[in-house]
Amino acid sequence: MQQTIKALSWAIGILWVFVLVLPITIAVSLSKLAEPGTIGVKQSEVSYSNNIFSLSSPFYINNTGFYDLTDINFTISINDAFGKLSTTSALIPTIRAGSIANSSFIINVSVAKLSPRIFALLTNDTDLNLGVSASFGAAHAMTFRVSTNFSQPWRAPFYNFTVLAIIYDSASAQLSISASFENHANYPLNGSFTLQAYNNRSKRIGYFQDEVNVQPSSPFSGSYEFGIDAAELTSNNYVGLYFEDTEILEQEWQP
Amino acid sequence: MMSSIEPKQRSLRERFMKFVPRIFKATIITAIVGIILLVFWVLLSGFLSFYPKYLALFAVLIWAILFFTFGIRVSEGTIFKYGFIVGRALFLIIFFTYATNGGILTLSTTGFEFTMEFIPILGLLIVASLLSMGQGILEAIEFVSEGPKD
Repeated sequence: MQQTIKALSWAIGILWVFVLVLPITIAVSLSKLAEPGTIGVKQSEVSYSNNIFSLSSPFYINNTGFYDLTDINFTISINDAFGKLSTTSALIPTIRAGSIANSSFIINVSVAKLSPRIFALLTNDTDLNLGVSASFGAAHAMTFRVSTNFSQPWRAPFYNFTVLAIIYDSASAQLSISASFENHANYPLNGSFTLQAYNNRSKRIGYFQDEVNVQPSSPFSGSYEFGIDAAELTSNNYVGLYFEDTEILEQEWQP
Repeated sequence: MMSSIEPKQRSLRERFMKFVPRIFKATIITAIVGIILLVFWVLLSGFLSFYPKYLALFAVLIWAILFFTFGIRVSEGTIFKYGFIVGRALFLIIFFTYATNGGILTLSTTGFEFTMEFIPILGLLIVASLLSMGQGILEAIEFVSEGPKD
């Protein structure tokens, strides 16, 4: 009996030391992650192709602590006044103690179909609500989850997009359109600017394309003139203005 | 009549006098433990003042530790000591499971939420407390088998 009681005493002592010391060492290990240079975000890249705005933000975590970090999950959700716009996640299964892991956030926002919501985002500055959550395990014993919300200013790439005039010259069957906007985004708008005219049977009756390059915080103003298939004109016609296949605006006009 | 009461009173007095050093010793040890816990209280109360619920739970833990420390010391050499040991282990299991919400603590303020999950550590703590209970029971059995000392 004495032997059993002694063995139990030892086991209890060891377990209590473990229970008390483990959280302290985990806290010390995690505090090393707060040192400068252990977590960083590299240069973000913004691209636009196939009607998808893509933002890629690479980041790294240097686990300078003495415990492995496991099941690391970062999630960012972007919401506007109408609800969720996009969600991105970055998952890292394990970062061994003393090693560096690289990953990136990729946010894709499809702007293929022009909705009032996308149009508002493309043409108005606003505040986007960002929901950020992070979770990770440390030493296979503790799991931490942090979630926060904050607002981030959104700068519209086609701020105050306005069609100044649509004039149809029946004598020459030419449609002239002038439009203006200001690039409030912090990246240049470099791509094709297309104008397509349709009749009310959705048949294309005119087309014009131009290359534009609008630097950040720069205004843009352009006037375009292109031929219309006069035989296909209807009482009500439409003209669509596109940037890289994304319809920015559709406006009705009468001959 | 007087002669039959006097030995009984003497016996009670003797028994009380026998307990006085034990009570004194238990008080001293409880006071030392109390001072150590007071230091912890002072260190943590600044942080826990933002979370009054945890401050109250910490106070409950301190008072319970002091109670069991005094109880175990004062009942040294009696079967009650093991009752206090088992009771303390049982209290710690229930307390830590309740206070830590089963090993999941959540602190939230406006627009910010922090959750800490430490179920494996709580599991170890429960195992340690269960072993303490087992040890207390074994010691009580051994104590009884050796015969009463008091």
